[in-house]
Amino acid sequence: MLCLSNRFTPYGKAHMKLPEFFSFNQNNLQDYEDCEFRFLLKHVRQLNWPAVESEPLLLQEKKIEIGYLFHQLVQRFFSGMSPILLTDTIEDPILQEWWGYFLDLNLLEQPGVKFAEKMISVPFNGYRLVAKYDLLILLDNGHIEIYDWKTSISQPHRHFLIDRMQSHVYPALLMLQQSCSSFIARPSPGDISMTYWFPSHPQSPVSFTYSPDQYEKDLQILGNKIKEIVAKEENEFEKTNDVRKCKYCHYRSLCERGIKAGIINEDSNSADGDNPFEFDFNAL
Amino acid sequence: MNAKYTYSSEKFDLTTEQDSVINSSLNACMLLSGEAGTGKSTAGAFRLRCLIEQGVPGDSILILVPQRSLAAPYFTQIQSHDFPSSSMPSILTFGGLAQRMISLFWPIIAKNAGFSFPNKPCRFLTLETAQYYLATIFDPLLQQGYFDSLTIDPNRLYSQIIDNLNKSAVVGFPPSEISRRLTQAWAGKPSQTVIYQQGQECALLFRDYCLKNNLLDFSLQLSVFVDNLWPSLVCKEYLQQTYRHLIYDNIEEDIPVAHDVIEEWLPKFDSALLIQDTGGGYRSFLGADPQSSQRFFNLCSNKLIFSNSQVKTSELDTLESALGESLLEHKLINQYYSRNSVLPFSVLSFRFYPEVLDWVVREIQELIDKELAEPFEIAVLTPFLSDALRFSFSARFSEADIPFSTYRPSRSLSDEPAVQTILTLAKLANPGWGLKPTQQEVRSAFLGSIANCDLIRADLLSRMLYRPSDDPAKPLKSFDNVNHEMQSRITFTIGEKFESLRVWLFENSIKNTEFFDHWISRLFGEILSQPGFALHNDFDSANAVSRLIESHRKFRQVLQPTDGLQITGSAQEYIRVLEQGILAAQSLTTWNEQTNTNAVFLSPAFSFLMTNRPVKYQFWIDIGSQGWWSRLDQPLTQPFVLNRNWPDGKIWTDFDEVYNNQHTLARITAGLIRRCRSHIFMCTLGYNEQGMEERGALLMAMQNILRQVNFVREVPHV
Repeated sequence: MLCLSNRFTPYGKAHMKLPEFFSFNQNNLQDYEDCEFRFLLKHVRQLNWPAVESEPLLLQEKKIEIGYLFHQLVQRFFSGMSPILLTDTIEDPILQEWWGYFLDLNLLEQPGVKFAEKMISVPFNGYRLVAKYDLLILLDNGHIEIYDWKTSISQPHRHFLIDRMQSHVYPALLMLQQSCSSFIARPSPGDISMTYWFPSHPQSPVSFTYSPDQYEKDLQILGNKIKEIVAKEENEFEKTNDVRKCKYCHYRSLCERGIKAGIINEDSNSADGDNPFEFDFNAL
Repeated sequence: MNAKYTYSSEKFDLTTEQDSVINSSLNACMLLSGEAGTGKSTAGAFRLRCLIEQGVPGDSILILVPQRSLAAPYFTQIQSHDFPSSSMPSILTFGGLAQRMISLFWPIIAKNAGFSFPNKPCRFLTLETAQYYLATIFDPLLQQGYFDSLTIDPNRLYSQIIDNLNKSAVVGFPPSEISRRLTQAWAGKPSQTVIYQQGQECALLFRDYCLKNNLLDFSLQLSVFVDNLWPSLVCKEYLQQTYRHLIYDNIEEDIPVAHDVIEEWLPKFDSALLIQDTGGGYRSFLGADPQSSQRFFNLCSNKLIFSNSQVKTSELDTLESALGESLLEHKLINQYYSRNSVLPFSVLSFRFYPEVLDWVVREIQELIDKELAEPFEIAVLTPFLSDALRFSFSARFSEADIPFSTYRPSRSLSDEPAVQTILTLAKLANPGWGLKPTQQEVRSAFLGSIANCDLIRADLLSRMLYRPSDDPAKPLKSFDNVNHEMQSRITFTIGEKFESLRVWLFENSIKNTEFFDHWISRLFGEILSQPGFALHNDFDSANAVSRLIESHRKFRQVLQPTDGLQITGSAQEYIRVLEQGILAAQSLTTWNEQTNTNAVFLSPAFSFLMTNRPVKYQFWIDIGSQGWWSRLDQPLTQPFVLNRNWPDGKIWTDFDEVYNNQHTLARITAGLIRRCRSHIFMCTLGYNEQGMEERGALLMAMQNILRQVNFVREVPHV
């Protein structure tokens, strides 16, 4: 149990202090982007608030489970286990289908050194920036492919994906890691490409190639964002103006922004409901 | 290969001894030993940094610690803003490594390990869920008269049976030998041997049940890893290719099977740094084996010893020697104190418990205000931390506006008021369960649900509106039924909130397709945390509800589909086992949260030792307590007999008991002193928490020291 003194207020005019072992990552930076106040509650105050995030809860839980199992299968696959043996362990028909699509990618046969579930941490502007890559493929010609598995049922538009903090953090961090002698590769920005691959939409991955311009922009975006966060007083973290987001945030009662959780529309193509970034499997 | 980089002692405030460890070659195999506080773990953490700066990939480094709290220096290093870019090193306990490997390689080893459904996923049991399954096996045996000669809470029996299984796994003998080993060492009445046999029978039935249902408790995880996974080529190659460098800290606190695996693995590492705290071994009752760790002296080519404490003063060093001698010899043989000795301790006597609590809080306030001590530099230590003591300190610290943190892993979830409120509301919403709450429980639930509802109003509400006998399907009556005068007395604001709660409960009984933890989330989000309700700004209670939800989720995730309880019935079953204390422990929050805040640390002495961080001031509460000395009464187990160092067939006698208690106490007090920078305040009590007079071994030993101090001060100066 931790009891702070009465001097402590949940969001007073005290200078914001990040927790001791805090690192910036795509997930907490996206939270800040979506709602500054959520960032404060979740990542600075680390406040457990066990309300429902979105409904139907049972479906959400099923999605998390199947996403977790898919990531585990892929990790086992790249650890050298036989695909036939792994196929025998799958009971869920959706997971079976996804697994089949994944095997069709033939990633093992493709050239290059593969790293699954690779976690990299770099010092950045006085703080640490961390990313966990689902799969990195390092090719002989210096090219690096980043794969990220998105196990949502629906697939968001390309521009939505490209705008996410993950699309800024992941390639930029591969550039930043070169400064250390234990670098995994030394690419130039043009050598990096990133693919969001949806097992439920295997034929339409969203890929982009990085560029020097984009790297410069990303350094600015990330640097400015971190600078802005750490300079803030606690009472300067604003609640989002987009109250639709509060329907899918479990802090809604604390913020007095509604009673019931939003319902995910399975037919929806929008990001409001079935958000592929909603579950951070890297944190599981 | 020689190190390319050398660390500047000045830049990082490191000693030359530390520099030599940190900058050792990239193929060095080192054993570093020394007392607590000599800077060994700091050297280990900088060695990690040095390896990475020299081009070693972070994820090829394995940092192994016996308990997660002991990894704090490594986490601090990795998270520091100037730590170099790197893939992440793995920081694991041996148990964590075992679980990670089983999770990864389950499809390969499940069949050979004897599990009945190798193609289906495995489920890892927590201590609580293991106890639950053990109870289902155990209860029919209790009905048959097992353990009828024991008067003990069944939950303590469960935990001791699980403890025996764990001991067999950490020491490395089959569970079928538990009874033989315990019986051979037993010197008392022969009837005890029947108890041991019955305990083993339960343990074997539980093991069989786990194998038949793909369940893995801690003991089975270790056994599967050590007996099936580690010997397999695929796992061994994976581990040996993945991890090329080892930093293994506090080897003396780890279990013998971990030492076995590391002994075999050690030659395969490119480099290794093993760190041993001489005088450690605090976790012996959990299976730690400092003697087993001695094998690494012969296996490491470089041996280094750190002998200069960076923490304790020479006065504290003297106290450590004097107290050790006094405890082991029952007197002081050597002269430790002279007329001018500065004492780094004070012994203060109080008659009753409240007096000592008041004094401690006042003293801490003075240390903070006058000595400018930071709260995190102060630890209040007890042999055990009861709920009553924790509450008493909490109330006083809060009143004095002193931030504090407590650590007591065995605190029951069902003791949390917010959890009791939720359980009562669940019973009210589901009268069909037949779990009728008492009027007092309902009163507490209103008190804990509605903001600004005091005890009197909650009592009035419960007396007037909780009428389960009128209509069992609707145990709560509407506030509209109350006469106007009484409505005014209760207040309309409270009445309105009561009505919202009543209607929500009536409309939201738990459906057959709904999990209990989901229902709790809805109750919390839609009612209890809304404005006007008690949990709206109550972060501690929100935290307790989170742990309840997590506990139920874990419970139902391991429930067998064949149990038929996965959704329907799981809530009632969960409440039953929670209220019986089977699901007792709170989920452990992270050690970071517990220990890295600027707050006074209140904990049992053992837990403090396992945080492995020095403080400036320590308060030892009730040094007369036998709790500092005697081990727990455990009729079904014996941690020192179920141990590799106990000779086969040797009987455990009273001499062994006293010898063991003496040495354990000497080790613990030495460990505490080595983690103190300035002063120890020791408090004695005329009457303990139970109103008894106690004169335990620690108090007696301190009296020997005080006698010598007083004697030299009274002798006239010549």
